[in-house]
Amino acid sequence: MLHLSQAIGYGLVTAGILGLAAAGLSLQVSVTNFINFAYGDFVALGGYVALTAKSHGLNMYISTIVAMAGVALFSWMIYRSLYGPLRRRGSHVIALLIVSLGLSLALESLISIVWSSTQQTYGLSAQAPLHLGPFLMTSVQLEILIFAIVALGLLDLFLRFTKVGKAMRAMSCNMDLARASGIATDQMTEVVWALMGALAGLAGVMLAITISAFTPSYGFTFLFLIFAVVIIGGIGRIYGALVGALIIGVGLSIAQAYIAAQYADAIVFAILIGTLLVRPEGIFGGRLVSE
Amino acid sequence: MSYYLSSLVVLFVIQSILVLGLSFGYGTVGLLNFTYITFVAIGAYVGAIFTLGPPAAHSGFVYLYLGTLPWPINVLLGGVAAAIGGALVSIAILRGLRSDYLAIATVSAGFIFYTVIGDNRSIFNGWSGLYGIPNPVQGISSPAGEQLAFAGLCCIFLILTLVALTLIRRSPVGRTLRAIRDDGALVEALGRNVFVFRFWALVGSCFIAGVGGALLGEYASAFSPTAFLPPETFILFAAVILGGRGNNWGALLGAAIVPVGIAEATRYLPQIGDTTLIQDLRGGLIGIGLIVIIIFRPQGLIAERAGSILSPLFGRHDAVLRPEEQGRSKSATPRS
Repeated sequence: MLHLSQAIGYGLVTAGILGLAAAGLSLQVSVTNFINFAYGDFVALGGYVALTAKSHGLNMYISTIVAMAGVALFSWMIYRSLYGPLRRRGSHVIALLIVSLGLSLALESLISIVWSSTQQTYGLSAQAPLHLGPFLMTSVQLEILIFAIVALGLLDLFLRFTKVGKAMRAMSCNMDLARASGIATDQMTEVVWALMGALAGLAGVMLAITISAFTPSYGFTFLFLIFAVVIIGGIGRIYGALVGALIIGVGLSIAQAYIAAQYADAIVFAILIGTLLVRPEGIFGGRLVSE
Repeated sequence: MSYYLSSLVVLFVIQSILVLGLSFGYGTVGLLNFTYITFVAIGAYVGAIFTLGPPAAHSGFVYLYLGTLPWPINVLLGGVAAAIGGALVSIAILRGLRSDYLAIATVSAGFIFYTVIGDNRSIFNGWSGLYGIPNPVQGISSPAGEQLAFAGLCCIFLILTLVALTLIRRSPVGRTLRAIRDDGALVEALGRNVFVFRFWALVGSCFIAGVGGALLGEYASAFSPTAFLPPETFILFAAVILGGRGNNWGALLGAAIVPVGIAEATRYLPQIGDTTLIQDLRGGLIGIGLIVIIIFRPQGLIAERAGSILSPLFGRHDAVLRPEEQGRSKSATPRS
């Protein structure tokens, strides 16, 4: 049994990771308007690329950057070679969704073949937890939390003040208007996919560190928490996703500590279904999910 | 070997029933029920607890004991239980959600069921699941003969399913369902209650899932939560899409190729590397196959034809429906 402040501390770490992953997914969904079921496996790929980088003697920070770059490149290639042509052909969102299912099955198998399906770990040394005000967390967890906040802050600055970021927001608001105003929407969509990959890769490494031992399916399991965050925050609302991440991350760890650990995930899914029913546009009014 | 072949026949017949049920829900009405396997599981569990007898007879076994019923009543009851589950899910989430969000909601519902069943030993013996599920032809002859006899019994269900689905597809109801799949708003505008049609289509699809699940449980003689994780649904979806959505022969072909063919063919690959390699190759093959089909032949191997399922045989060639054409017209503006 954890104390409340401890539970909130763990919850904040989970929320940071969820926020990063959800920001990436939310950006992609709002720009390309289909749900990528393979996103969880992009997250897992990040964890595994970092594992390889680390086993080649790089330290954890460099390995994380390698993972971000690797998944960004992979994600960009997937969009260019697979989704881009399909979208230009005018494939229905359901066809794209089913392609992403196929990609998810293939990617998880690929990860399992390359890195084996047994439990893996980065072998970071265990640390004594530190007392930080009311919270209790290890220095690694604290670092994850700080890096997540910094990365989300940078993402916010990027979206608000750079030309590329503004173009992305314009596209997520209204694709036709954005195209009419001269934004190169096709190239920009590719950039969105690369950015999504980088965020997935970063979240993947952080998640892998937090759960300490991981198997190829860890990303797919995490995917539905990401969906919950994105839907609660409102589709296409990147800042909404952060609030969604706080609700789910902290709620999850409080539920684990005080209600019943084994039902924590079930509670999140019940919240997800409830949100879809009661307020399908999310708390902050993102894109409608009804027909 | 003859035992192996006859067990393959049973597997094909049962998987055909399952794929037909999914093909009805997805192919005919366009419902993305991503937790179809949950209804298969409900059927398997309910079918099993009505033939297993009192739990005391199996030491260390805990489950809800409600009595013992003769075959095939327990199988039908499995179907009814799954249909009730389907009705509950439909009432909760079928109204109003865009189909891809419906998919997320169904997977979430499936996860909740998975957790509740796994963590409560008193319902269906928790994570260890049920085992020793008897089938009605146990011990009537050699193991191979027993499998063939069971295949025969399952075939009765397969034929009934085929006949029922064909009748529905050829009826005005079937046309309405296909119209809803292609343009729900239009059908609504014509004065039909789309929700009611989709509700009964999902309930029907779940009933077939439950019956197939009960037979699957008896075939495998065991059932536990690991048998109904989301990827199992995706494999059945792959079968529907490969065979061709919304047509019964396509569903049978899909069942023969994906859950039976790929699963069994990979069994004969030499064992190299670690033990899960074959399983991974199987998943990879199905995943890549799914992508390739959507890219090169989105209508599936057997394209849907308007009209009778016998039209390929009797030359009544109506217009071929092309899903990719429909997709093109719908997504002229890709963003809503």
